[in-house]
Amino acid sequence: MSAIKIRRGLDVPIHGAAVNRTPQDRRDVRQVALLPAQESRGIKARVLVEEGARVRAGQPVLVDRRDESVLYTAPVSGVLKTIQRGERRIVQNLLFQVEGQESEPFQAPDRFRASAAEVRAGLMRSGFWPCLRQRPFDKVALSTDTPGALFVTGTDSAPLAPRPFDLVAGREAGFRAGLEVLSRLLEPAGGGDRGPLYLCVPPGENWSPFVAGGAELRTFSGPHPSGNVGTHIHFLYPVGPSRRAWHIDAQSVADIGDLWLTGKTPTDRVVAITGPAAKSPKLVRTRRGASTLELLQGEIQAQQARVVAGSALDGVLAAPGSAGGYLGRFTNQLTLLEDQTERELLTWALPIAGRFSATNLLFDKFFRKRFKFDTDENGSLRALVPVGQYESVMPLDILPTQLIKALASGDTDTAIKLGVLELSEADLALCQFVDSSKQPLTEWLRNTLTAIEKED
Amino acid sequence: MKFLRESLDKLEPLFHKGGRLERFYPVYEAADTFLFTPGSRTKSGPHVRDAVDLKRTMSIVVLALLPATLWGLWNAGYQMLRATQDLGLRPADVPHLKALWLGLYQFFPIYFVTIAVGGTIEALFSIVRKHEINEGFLVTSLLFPLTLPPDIPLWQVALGIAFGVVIGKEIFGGTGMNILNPALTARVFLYFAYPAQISGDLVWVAAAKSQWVDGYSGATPLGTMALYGYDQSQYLYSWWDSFWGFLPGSFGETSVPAILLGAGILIFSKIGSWRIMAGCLLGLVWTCLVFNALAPSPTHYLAVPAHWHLVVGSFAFGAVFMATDPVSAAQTDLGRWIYGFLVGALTVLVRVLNPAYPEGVMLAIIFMNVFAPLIDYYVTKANIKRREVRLGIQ
Repeated sequence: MSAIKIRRGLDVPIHGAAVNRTPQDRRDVRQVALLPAQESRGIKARVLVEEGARVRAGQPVLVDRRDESVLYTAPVSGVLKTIQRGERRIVQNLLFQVEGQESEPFQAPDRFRASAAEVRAGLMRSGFWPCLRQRPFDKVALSTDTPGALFVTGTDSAPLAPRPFDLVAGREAGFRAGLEVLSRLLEPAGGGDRGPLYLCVPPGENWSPFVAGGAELRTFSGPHPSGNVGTHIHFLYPVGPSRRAWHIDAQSVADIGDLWLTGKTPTDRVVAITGPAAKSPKLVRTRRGASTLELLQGEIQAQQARVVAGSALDGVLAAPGSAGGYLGRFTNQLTLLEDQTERELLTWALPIAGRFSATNLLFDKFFRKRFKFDTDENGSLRALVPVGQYESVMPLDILPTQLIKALASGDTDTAIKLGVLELSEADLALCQFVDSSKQPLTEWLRNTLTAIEKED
Repeated sequence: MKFLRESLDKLEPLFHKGGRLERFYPVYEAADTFLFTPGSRTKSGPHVRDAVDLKRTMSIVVLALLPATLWGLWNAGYQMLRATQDLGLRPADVPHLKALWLGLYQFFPIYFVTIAVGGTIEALFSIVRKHEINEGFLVTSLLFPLTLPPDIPLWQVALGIAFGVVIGKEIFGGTGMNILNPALTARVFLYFAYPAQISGDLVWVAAAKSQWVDGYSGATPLGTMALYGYDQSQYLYSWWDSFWGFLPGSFGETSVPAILLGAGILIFSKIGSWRIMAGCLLGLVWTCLVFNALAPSPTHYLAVPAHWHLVVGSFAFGAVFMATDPVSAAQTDLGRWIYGFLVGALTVLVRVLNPAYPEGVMLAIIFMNVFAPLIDYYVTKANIKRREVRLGIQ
């Protein structure tokens, strides 16, 4: 086992970490949803069931016409209430009302003896295939593809993120079975050498009971983004135009393993409710795709709060009651932030403003450990003035200032050369966090990636 | 406070699209966000943000310049008293308030002209280009007067800053896009356009000609060095005088401690690049050592050791405040080292080997401004190559 130490980076000192290690039971949520548009970027969805139909957990409800063999299944047993569509009729969510406990029978192919193709087909049927994502582009893995390496993320350094170790605690057997299934995906169709299966973890946690299927344990330590999968991929198996890696989160691995062992579709998800606007930050066990409206009843302590599925740095909006107001497939945490900003007089001239800065322009951080961050941009849009702020939070061998300029000008060729294919929004989020120009860096990143994908 | 906010909010529609003063929105925006935090909220991406913004960044640079500015005011007054009343006046015996006042009396018109002319041009460009007025001018407008001698005619100040802002910055697209440091561009323009007044051969002391004192020698330390090399018996100022800054020169350049204080602020706040400053120092020391080894005689200019080069002229000021301009300097970490090193090396090279110009810092920095993109180009290329090797393309 070898350790990789990250030096550059930043742990954003935000207030409101979950206190409990064992999750509280919140499976009482009645409404859950599948969010195809958000989870599978650019999906061309074909819905297989009609509104009002009864579904069992694990029953196929949707396919992506770009990759028809991958099935999207119902996260629970219940009734498909509505199909909500957005611009250009893109399917935003399938909303289910929880009823009963029926599960679609799943015939798991033997994970050791069946052929690799059969194991693959099993995973595509199971509804858990979309948990696999691919770098470059950070999109759902193609079913016809074989990755050069597969990364299981057992660490999360994002602000207030729960420890994946706590999220899968007690599921060792399932996790091991999951790794055994995943290891089969690395077998090339025509035979030959198998790529590595990495389990990336933080230091100081005993993951050895979880290891199986030839997975190699790798330790990443240091400040955020040491727990980002983009960092792991960069150090262990850098990707580019000709190399692809897949990755998956720890809970999904345990889900896949449990499905294989029991034949029943797992319907639970452990998430942390965190953030300065959370009344009592905690770990809860709820349903996959749970409605934030129900889950956060009585949990918010702000007049106007923003609910983010994911961390404050790289999460997506999940406003209760809106089309996206549900736990996503990869969500490990909900971050609640105060969303009401006030215009304060002449604060730019004061050395103390109750706010955090990675620079030493503000002295607050010298006598305060945690900050109640809100959604204030803390500045207005200006030109990029590169004083080295990006470099100080970029641990990868990537030149952030140069890359950001290439992104800003939409120069895809230069961006590829500078390593844009290794990145997703999460990897550039810190750069945008520390930026004094307040430019939309991660938006530029996604636009550039989309443009590159279209060119191919 | 509330009243102020409400009146601003009442005015705002006038400056919006379709409003009567639509064209002047940048001016409104500048005033509005100067008084109040902008209050804009994140839409996506990182939902929380660092508290740093350009206003804060630029105001800290201004703060870092204050020690050098205050020293400059006092010193301008001191030099004036010395030249006009008592050549033997010692720094300790100076009436400090009077010296400050005399200095301010010299400095304020220069600063005011800079702000008025430069600021107007800046605002005009913002209005025509429809972008916001950038805080970068706060720094430019203080840097520029500090590089000027107290006796400079005001029309030259106006011409210089106009040239600096337009040619040094705005034609490239404004703050963040410029290749040259605007304050330095302005200074270099004056240097070449009016060499007689600004090259440093004449005395840089504010005094009316009628009050001229016979026998007052006006050579600057660098001028002396160009003539006599390292023959210390000819030096008019001791090393400590040069270090503390008790000698004639441009407003901001003379005092090393005041500049070091500014450097401390810049490095501590993480706004100024310590890599560039350290690179400048290394480059200067290394070149001096090489020159010292090559010196034909111990009194030759080549023999002047590094500790003298560090304190005379405007090396310290240039290395701390001019070379570190984040936009016109190299923008990779390795590039910053190389860029700084070359600035330091070129400074000595110009001072010692070029007979035409006694001072080399300004030329070294502007020259390296031009070459910074090239340095970055090669650093970037090396990064690209490493990536290709990793991916097995090469």
